[in-house]
This record gives sequence, C-alpha cells and structure tokens, in this order.
Amino acid sequence: MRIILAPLKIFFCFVLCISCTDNLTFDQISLDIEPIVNVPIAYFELDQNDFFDDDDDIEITSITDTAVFRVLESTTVQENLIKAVIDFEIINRFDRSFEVIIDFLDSNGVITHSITDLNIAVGDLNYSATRTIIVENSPEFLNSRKVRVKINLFSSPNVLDPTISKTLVFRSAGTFYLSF
Amino acid sequence: MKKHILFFVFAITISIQAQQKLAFSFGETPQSLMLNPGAETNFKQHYGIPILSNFNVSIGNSGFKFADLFLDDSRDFNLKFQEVLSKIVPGDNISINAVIDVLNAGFRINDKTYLSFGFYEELDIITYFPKDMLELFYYGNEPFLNRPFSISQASMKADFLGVLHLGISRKINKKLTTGARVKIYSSSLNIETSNNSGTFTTIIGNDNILRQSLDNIDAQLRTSGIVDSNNEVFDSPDEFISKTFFGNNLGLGFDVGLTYHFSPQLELTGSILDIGFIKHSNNIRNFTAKGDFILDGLNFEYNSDLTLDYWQELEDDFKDKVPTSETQEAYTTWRPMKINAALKYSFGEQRRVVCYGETHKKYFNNSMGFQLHTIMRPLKAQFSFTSFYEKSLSKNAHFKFTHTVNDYSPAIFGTGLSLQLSKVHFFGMLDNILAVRDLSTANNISLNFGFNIVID
Repeated sequence: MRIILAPLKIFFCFVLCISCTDNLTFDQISLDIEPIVNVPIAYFELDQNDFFDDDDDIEITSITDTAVFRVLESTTVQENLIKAVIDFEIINRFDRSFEVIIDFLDSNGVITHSITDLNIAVGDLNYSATRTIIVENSPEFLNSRKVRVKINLFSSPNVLDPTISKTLVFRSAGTFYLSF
Repeated sequence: MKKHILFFVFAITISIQAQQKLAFSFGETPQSLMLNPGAETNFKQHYGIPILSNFNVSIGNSGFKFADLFLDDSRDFNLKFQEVLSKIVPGDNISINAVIDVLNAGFRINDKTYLSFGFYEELDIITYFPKDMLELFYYGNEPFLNRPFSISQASMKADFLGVLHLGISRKINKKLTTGARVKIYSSSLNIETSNNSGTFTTIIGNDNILRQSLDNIDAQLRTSGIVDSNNEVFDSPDEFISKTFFGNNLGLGFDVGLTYHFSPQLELTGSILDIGFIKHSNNIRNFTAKGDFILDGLNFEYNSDLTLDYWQELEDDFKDKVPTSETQEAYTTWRPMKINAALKYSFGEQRRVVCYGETHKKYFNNSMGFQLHTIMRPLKAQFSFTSFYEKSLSKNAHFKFTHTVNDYSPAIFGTGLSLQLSKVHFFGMLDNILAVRDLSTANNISLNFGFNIVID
C-alpha cells in the first residue's frame, strides 16, 4: 500500500512545490443546514350522523379519535427540531358551533402538548388557524407518540339531523423547522 | 455532521481524474501503447520501473471552484455555499480515475511485431451532483411547493480493480500499424446506481391542505466487494488491494488501435479502450425501490367500533406500493469505454533515428494537429478536444504544447515532455499550466509522468 501511494506523494509534493493558491481560509467554515419541511398531518370529514349513536336516536356532543405517529421517534428529528408550525383549515356546514381540542400524548398517554383554542362558529366555511410549538419552550413535545383529536359540539337549540347530509371538514399540515 | 458534509465538499473539490490525454500519440513512449495498442514503437524492448512506469492524476470539478467556498473574503460561508448550490447544474460531476502501473514491459518479436504486457491498478469513480436532492436536504420542501424533485440526477459509479493485460502491435506496411490488447479485469469493489427515475413533489391537496407524492419511482443500487457473505463490511485497504489480484469478480476486455500515414507528414491515430465487462458474482448486495405513493396524511375515521392504527396502515400501504428489496444476485457491469483519435501534420527539418538495431526511421522536428477524446459515462459521454504543437529538439527530446476544451473549461493549456537519457526514458505531462498559479480557482489540473527503461 505504501509503495502504491508513493507516486501520489510525489505528485502532491510536486504540485505543492510549483503551485500557489489565493488566500484561502477554513476558519470561517460554519455551515448551517436549516431545512424547512412541510408535511400533511391529519384530515377527516364528518357527517351529522357521526354525532349520533348507532340507532341515530341520541346526539353525541363529543367524539374522539387517536392515532399513533412515529415521526418524533427519529433521533435526527429529536436532536434537530427547533419549531413546529401547524396549520388548520376547517369547514363547518353544521348548524352548530364546536371546538377542536388536539392533544399530543406520549407512549403512556400523558399529554405532552395541547391545542385547545380552536373554536369554529356556525357555518364558518373558511376557518383557518396556525399554532406554533417552540421546542425549547415545550421540550416534552418531543416525547409525543400519539395525537388525539376531540370534537366538542357546543350546546345549542339547533339539533343536528342525521338524515340531512351536512359535513364538517378538518384538514391540517405541519411545517417543521430543523437545524443541523 | 457539518464536518462530514464539508469534508465531502472538500473531497469533491480535490477530486482526481486521469485521462492521460496529452500522452496520446506523443513521443513514441512505451506508455503510448497503453493508450493506443496500434501506436508505432521504435525500441527493441522496454521495462517499466515498477509503480513509477506510469502514473497519472488530475484534479477536476465541473460544478464550482475551490475558491468559491474557501476564499478569505470575509463573506458569510453559508451565502457562498448557497451560491455554489445554485451554480451547480444537473450533469455537473466529480470523476476520479487513477491508474498506477504495477508492472509494465515489452519486447520486439520481429521488425514488425511488438509485444507488451503488464498489470495495473485502476480506481474509477464518477458521481453526478444530485442537485435536486441536495437542495431538498439543504432547504427542505417548504420553499418549493409544486416543484418535482427528481431522483434521476442521483447517478454514480465506482470501481477499484486490477487489470492484467497483454498487447500486440504489428506494422502491416509502411503506412499502417495496428494493435490490440486483451485485458483480464479483477474487480475489488463496485458500487453503481444509474438510470434512476421518479420524483418527489409537494402540492396543494384536495383531501388535506398538502399532498405529497412519489411518482414513478424506480431506483436501484448495486454493490459488490463491500460486504462479505457474513455481512461483515470490508474495511481494510489491504483486503481491497488483495482482491484486485484475481479475485472472484472477473471480467474480460479489449483495446484496439491503429496508426495510419496518409503521407510521410500526415498521420492518423485512433484507439478504442476498455471494450469489456466485469461479472460481479461475489459479495453482492443490491437494493431496489419501485412504485408510486400519495400521502395526504392520517385519515381519521372516528369509528367507535374499531380501533384503527392509522400509522401502521400508512406504513403497510407504503411498503405495498413502493416495495423495496435487497438481493445478492450476480450482475454485469460495462467498463467505461474510451475513444481516442488524433490527426497530426509534421513539418520542418527531417531527421533520422536508429530504431531497434539497424532500422532507421525518419521524423520531422515539428508537428501540429488535434485530438478527440471520449469516455462513456453513466449519464452521458464526456468529450474533450485538444489542439497541439509538438517540437523535437533532438531524437531524444520532444515537447508538446496543447490547448484543450472539455466539460471543465474552454481554456486548458498543457505541456508535455518526452526525454530519453541513455536507456532511461522519462515522460511528463502537465495540463492546465495556467491553473498552477492559483490552484484554488482551477476547475481542472492534471499531471502524468512515468519512468521506463528503453532499449533501442
């Protein structure tokens, strides 16, 4: 191996002897890799009959669903996530106002972060909101392994009618700021 | 992490590439037989000095210059990096090709026939800048809504091999000399990924705010000589070198060439090198991924009767639609074929030189002409055009001055020397002599030299 590398050494010595370079510096090398990543998160479309029991007799004012997500299990994300910005778009064709509560949970079901102030008025077809999670201020967010989305209908004289097709549309996307 | 990336960038910038272009059709050196088995020779026998008989290295990078990143101008390094990233275009590449002769010798069988043989080690790497993937990694997808990021730019090929060769050069008549060389390749290492296709795109969605899609993904990576049958990674340089001597991944190739004199003053030389293949059948690991996938996010169903694992469904759906595989199937790779051609017109004072005993050969002390060089690469062939002037000061001392246009630069000036002192023959070529003044601003620089014992 040494013998084979000998010509390489001779070459580089030769080039170094006869050549020169402009002023170069390696002191200022500090590359900040800060990608911003967009991903769709959760979405659903609910009809009025989703808020009734199986017999369509009794109105259910609160429904909940939970999903596991494993994005934050990655050590790359754990070590480099700076901020998460979550955008919500909701279309409410119901004759009822409601709130959406989003809880991020760790693997034991303990809440790591909550978004509780999404209140959607009757007939609001263009509701949008943005919520920001700064990891430095909410480090426990990195322990999140599940997301729970809860819909609470506000009480109202208007009763939902499961025989009429009216929908509630929920859409969300995340923007994740990373720094390596 | 940052250091690793910067070392990668540094490695790119000082990439090594050997084309040995200037040595083609020059000075009737023993090594010219390696570039053209049909080259004319005027010596009885030659013995290459082991390791030093032919060594070629050049530095080149078509994407940017060293100074673009590291010039001491107090500008923010990140800004310079972003400028370099924007400057790179698909097709910019790094190529490393180094050849070291371990053994090279030859002897004349008769007045018309010269036999040469030897063994050399070759490192050949080319990797194209995957600009889309680099930008996706550096900036993320957020600034590029609706932009398809293509994986087709991810293309590279790396080989480390030993080559045992035997060539014959035969003078057919006064005008024509032809030659051929047979090569047995022994591959120690091969990594290649090419002909990849497919895109990653983020667009405004219908079901959700965003939709991400992988479209027409078809990617493959083939390797041999990296992992053994016990899944142990080869990491010793000695292991890699030992496998270049008749290892388990063997191949066969040929070189052909000719020299033709239209007149005593007008000469055409041409050669095709490395028409050959290597069959990789040992220590193989191949990876593939193929399919299409659309991601709208997790679709909550609010079904109280079922407990659904949306994430697992998503993962299963992805594995189903974009299946990946790891195999150990044998595969065949083609060597990067090179095509060389030169047209030379000689003029000036006519001299005679004694060749192998009693034969005499006439030559002129000036010549000029042009050369074309092509090497087949995964994405496209690389071309270079060289015009040259040669001056012979004596029968033992020849100089060559060149101007080359290639992928790296339109103005590469080079010089070469072929010198014989007694029985020791030396040749040296320096390409892009202007860049020697400031290597940091050079896209391309190369040096080729060798020592041989020549017996007339």
